[in-house]
Amino acid sequence: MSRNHGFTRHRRSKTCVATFSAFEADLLRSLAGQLIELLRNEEATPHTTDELEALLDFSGPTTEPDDPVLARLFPTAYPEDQEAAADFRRFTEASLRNGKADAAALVIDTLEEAGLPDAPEDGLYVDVELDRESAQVWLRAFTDMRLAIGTRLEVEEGDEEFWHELPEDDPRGPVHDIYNWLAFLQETLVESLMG
Amino acid sequence: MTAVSTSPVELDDPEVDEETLLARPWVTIVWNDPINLMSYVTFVFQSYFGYSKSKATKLMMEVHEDGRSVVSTGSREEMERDVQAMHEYGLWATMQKADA
Repeated sequence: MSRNHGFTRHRRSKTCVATFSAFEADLLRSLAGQLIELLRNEEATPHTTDELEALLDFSGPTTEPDDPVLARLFPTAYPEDQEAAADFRRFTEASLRNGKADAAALVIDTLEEAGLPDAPEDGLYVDVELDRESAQVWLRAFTDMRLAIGTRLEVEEGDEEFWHELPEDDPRGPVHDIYNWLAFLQETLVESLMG
Repeated sequence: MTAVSTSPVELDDPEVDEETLLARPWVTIVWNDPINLMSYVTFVFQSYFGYSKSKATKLMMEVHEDGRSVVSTGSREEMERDVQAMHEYGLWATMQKADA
């Protein structure tokens, strides 16, 4: 999949640049779109059966999200203090959700501004150029996409052999390829930002 | 709006434990996860905390090898900010009292 070289640092402008095929750019856009949907899907509302409490508690959720991906994106800050954990979540989760959705939206905007049409055709290439600030936002978006896919796939440390030996018709195979491709892109973006 | 009484308030002499005042009693802990890239975690420690490359790399290796590392120390409010920032970056962070 990664026939491209990922991100490199442009010598003169100091920006991070990458060229994506139409297929790759479209895939990135679709992943970013799915992430936004996931972040907005499970309502950031409190899980409480007490009606009055629910009415008064309009500021944010207090319990860990049910979806394992969302639980990984918004970890419990105080593992041993439920009350403090609920307060922390109430005050942070909504803005964290928005920040992550904004980061994914920036990826989509960048790709479209770089010329990715609604229905891209083969043979089209999209040149992306990121300044330092947007490169950092892209890094966060790559992280969230990888956390989402990796959590769904239940990846573990040192499980490369498992994925390598997966039967060809296992539907997780192509998803894991995408997961690795995102890792490659992120690695090259970190390198070109730090280099 | 809130009304506040302005009559004098008597405070008990506080028993100041100097050790508690000087100690910075909360810590932010980053935990190992199988997904985040080592290079990215190092990058986060450098760019958010302003740590040197060698300090950031050392902390990242601690997370990787020991499963967790204390990445910052300070007041409870400061640590809440740091934990929130780590979650923004996608790192798995928690906070607790330093001696816990």
